[in-house]
Amino acid sequence: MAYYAIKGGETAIKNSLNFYSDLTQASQNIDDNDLMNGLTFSIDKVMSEGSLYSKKLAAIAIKRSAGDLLNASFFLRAHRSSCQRICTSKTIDVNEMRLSRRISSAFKDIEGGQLLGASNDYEIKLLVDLKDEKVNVEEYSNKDCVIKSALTPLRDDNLIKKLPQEDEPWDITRNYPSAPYPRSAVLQVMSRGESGSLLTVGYTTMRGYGDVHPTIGDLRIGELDITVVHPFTKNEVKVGEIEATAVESVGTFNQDSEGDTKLTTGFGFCFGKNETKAISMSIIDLTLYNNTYSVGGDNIIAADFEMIMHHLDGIESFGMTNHFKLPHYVTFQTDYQIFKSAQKYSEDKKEVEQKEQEGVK
Amino acid sequence: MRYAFLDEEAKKEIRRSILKAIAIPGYIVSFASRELPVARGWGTGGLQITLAIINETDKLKVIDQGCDGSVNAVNIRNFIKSVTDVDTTIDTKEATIIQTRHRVPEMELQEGQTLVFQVPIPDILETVEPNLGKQKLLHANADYSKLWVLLYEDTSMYGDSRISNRYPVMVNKRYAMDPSPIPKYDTLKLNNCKALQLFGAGREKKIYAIPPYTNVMPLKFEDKDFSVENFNGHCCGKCGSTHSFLDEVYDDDGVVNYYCNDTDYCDKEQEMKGDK
Amino acid sequence: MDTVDIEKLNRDNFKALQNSLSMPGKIENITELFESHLLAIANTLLYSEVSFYYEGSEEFELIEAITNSKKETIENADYIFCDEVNEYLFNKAKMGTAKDPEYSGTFIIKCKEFDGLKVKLKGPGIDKEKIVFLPINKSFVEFFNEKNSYYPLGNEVFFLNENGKIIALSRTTKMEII
Repeated sequence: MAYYAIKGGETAIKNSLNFYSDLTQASQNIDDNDLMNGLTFSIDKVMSEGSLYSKKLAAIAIKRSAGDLLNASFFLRAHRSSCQRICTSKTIDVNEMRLSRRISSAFKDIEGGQLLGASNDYEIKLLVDLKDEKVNVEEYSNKDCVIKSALTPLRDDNLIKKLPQEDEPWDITRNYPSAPYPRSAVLQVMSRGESGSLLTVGYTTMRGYGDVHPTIGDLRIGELDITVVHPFTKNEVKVGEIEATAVESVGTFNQDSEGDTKLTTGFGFCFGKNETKAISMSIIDLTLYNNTYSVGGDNIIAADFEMIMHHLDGIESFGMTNHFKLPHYVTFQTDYQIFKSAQKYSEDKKEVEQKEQEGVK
Repeated sequence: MRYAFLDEEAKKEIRRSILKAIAIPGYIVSFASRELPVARGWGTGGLQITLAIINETDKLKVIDQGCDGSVNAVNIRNFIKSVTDVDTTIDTKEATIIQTRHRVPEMELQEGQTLVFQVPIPDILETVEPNLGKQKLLHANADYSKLWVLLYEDTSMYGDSRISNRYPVMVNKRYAMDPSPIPKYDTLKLNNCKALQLFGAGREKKIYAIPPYTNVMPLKFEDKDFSVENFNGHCCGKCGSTHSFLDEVYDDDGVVNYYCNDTDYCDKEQEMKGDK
Repeated sequence: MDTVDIEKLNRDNFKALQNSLSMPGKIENITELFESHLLAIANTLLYSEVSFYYEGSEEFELIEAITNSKKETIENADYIFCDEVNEYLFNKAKMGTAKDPEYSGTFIIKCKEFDGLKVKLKGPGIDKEKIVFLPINKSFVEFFNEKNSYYPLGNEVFFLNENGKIIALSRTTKMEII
């Protein structure tokens, strides 16, 4: 059967979507709540990359995509694009998080202790269980568990480098900046970036492509309140809660804008539970803003703003990569013709050179 | 659903970018570029322009690789129709807005028509300098030396530029511009065109434009001709045209046939020949 | 009270603005909003991310409220609305930079009619040349040509007459008095 991307396109698309619908039929029958409660990490990843906090919509998107999480994020982004902006919320302070998990690798012990919470860090990855151990678990509520960042003592002692404050945070969905990029824009790009992309870039710094030696100062997962100013009463009103991951990593030290030697830090933040992404983000933040030494090689991707601002968005890279499936027969025809002309030119040239050589003999 | 899908703020921002782009022919204007239900890289730039400029009086034509029936053209046309209820047409002469990917229609366009190009890579300097900040400075200084060096290197090794589509053009004698992946055959149509030409790159978040009657010349050395694609004397197997861009199509027996790439043009030629 | 479909008004008026700027010298029609053509154009162009300058007699507060655009000084405004031609204002408006020529002012100037000085227009958007009458004087032509000689820096101008017709000059347009 030949592939003709010409007439009959309309019918072809309809049939293709029908076949796809058959393929995704089984996932459509999954109960939304089962998905939200069951595949909680998938839901969180999709909300984070889709840049829209809605577990329900994330569940619907995952079902529509039959588990293709990047495709599901795309659905959320497209939906977000159609939502009207009513107002901007108050800036969240992650120190006010109601913690369900909080650790610090930088210190042996911290205020409130190392709160491991629900984590698979120490899970032995065997698909078959070793043995069934019964554990007694205390009742725990995060309502009273609000503890400031483990780096607070260092901040209070003015040991940590402060970056310049922007007057107002940028909004990359309303206006995309050109270089020099505001830090708020850089963090926005990373926060909604594709988890694997951030992982790769962060990883390069751990293998020498960067002059950062990070230690996690504070990693936290918990609930945060979203507050807005009521348009009429002008009072602050809580409109909802989100679960989020925040990571502060500590790097090496260098001089700040006033010439004082300070410790450097990086910040990672994303919707839902995604420690890998938040850790990667904090390390990339660290690398971008502390790239002053000759260590690390020439091409430090994690320190290159152009690399970070334009290559981490999953929806963009996914779209562009897959666009190569679209018909390209016109451009291919032009490529082929250029190749033929160049080939002919080389051959003619060779012939002429050969004739000259023979003439010389 | 609201008319043309995008909210009014999004439309206004795109419209502002379009007006500035028209005022500075060939210059790349940045815009926010909203995500759409269509994937990035699949025409969201062209789509945003069309959705921002379209109104009830328009007649829309959408082509991809010169063909209205091409899968992605069908998809885009259906989407625009579903959010505007606009009249659609495959007749190039009738259309007021023509959204296209990779080709310029064969038939000469007229005043009052708008050609909207889908653009994957908006900056022609990407060919020689991938850093966006540096690109902007080079444009600010009208410094296109890297392109000329590339042209020189290619010419000395292969007799001509290695660039096959997206051939660099100079607009209004000031900005080097990427005409989108159209064949060199079409590059010549951009010059002094009677229609308004708008270019949208959604993923890269850029819009640029060429007003009607603007000077657009391919970058080439004075002593070399600008060579376009040729079809070795073949003519269209359907309408017999020797003056159109042809597709090589393999049939089920593995035999190669040549047909006009611009399907509307071919249909019209066949009609005319049929009348005779 | 008749309901006004503001979005429809905007898209129709935008088409007129786009057509007139892409072909300088061509006359297009604006449909009024709140019984004003100037306010209609303002409502089409202004939104929360841009700024304007206007010191005139029309009820601009309405537009400011609906569009959430910011009032700015003449030096910083993105869109400058005038009840009449004002060369001082024209010279003060921002022209952009070589790197970002689009951060420049666009003028919308009210006038009685398109009569007055006979000028020849040339440049992108114009088929060879176009002769029009504009409600300006010699010094405006000089200022316009001088400012736009720093192309790509420059300013665009829309003239709006009492009957809601517009005629535009792009920064690429060369004006010659004849």
